[in-house]
Amino acid sequence: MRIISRLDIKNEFVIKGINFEGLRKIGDPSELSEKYYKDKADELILYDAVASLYGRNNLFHIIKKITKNIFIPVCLGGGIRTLNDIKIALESGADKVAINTAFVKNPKFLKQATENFGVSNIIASIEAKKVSENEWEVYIHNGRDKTGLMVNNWIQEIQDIGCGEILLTSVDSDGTRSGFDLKLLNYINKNKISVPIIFSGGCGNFEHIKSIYKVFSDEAIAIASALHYNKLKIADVKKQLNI
Amino acid sequence: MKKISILNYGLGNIRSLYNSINRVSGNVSLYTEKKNDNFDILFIPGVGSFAKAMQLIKENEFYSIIKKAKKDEKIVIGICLGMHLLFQQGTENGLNNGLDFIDGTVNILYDGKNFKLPNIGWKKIQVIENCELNFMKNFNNKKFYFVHSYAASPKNIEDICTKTKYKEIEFVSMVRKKNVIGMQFHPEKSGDIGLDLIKNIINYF
Repeated sequence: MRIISRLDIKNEFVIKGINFEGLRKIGDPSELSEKYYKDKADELILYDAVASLYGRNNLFHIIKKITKNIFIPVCLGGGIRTLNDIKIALESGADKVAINTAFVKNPKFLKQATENFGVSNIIASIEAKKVSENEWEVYIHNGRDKTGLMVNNWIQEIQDIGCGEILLTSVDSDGTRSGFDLKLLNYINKNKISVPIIFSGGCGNFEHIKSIYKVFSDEAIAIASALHYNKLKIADVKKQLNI
Repeated sequence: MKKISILNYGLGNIRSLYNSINRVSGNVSLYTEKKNDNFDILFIPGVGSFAKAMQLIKENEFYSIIKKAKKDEKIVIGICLGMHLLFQQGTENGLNNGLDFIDGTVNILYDGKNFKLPNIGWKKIQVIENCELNFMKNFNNKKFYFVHSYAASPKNIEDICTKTKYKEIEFVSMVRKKNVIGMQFHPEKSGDIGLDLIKNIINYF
């Protein structure tokens, strides 16, 4: 299982909220990136938390700076809307981009992105919010706006078009540190998904990781709050899981 | 100090390769910024698909530059898709000719059911006993970062340097034939161990 450190960033600071709300400042993106790199993170995801709302990504200069000292895959997400945005992200040192809002608004953009840059650089990001007992809806603009699109239908569409990975974030669990959204995991039926999945939202302690590891050992998880608040160390998790 | 050049032939994430070589060697440039073939080592990164990459290489003057580098016994190193291009043929998006430096073809890893592609993540490399690169024994069973759906099948066993397992499939993860090296994994994204390997390769030749 890949263990990915996720840093949500607003105005030059790593921030974290609960269910995408009530954002609190955590620290400096460069310092935290290096900390997690040294802590044996498999990858980093840097997400501009307000970019898609304001229509641009502000992290290119941060990516440029941190990738001089970090030699693991770095993914940039948030506010990426054009092929040129992807080009600038990759030229800045990102290895992949994660895109949610722009793909939902225009699925053809996903096709263009993979055709131009190859599937392995393109992550389809999905923000999933529970809307009824057995249904999850796709949200955009960093968990703010509903789309009417159901998560499983959207996953199917994404797969038909083609992408390298799916980053699935539970809006309901994000920032809560109360455990991964196992019902969401159940709902998506991971066996029917033919690309690697990164599951994000809710990780708070080692028990949470253990509970998902049983069914998810071939996939990836992203951790934010639990690392920011020093509840977990990636190196320790790997040692305990023997991975 | 050895002069190192990275072939910048298209759109891609070559900045991390640049940064990592720069960290261990310091004398690296992108081959478009400085249009001269005054280098000792040429890195070919992977960009897009086999067909697209060969097309871009042939459209520009890069084709003759790579061939000349090989002929002049400079070190040519292909990474990921760059490794694939070293072979005779690729089957990604139809049959396409490669650079033909190493005998063999490039094929999809496996297309059976419940077999996820791309293969993404950190996997161990197993150094083959007769690998002539002595320093490689220090990297036996170390984990490197992979992201790929295709893998090379060298015709001659003596060209194989390391192998790696993804689920039940074993594939060739590193090749070496004289002055040509190919790596399926990304040493530039494999943390300190990856930097160490890049350093060893640069210093070996």
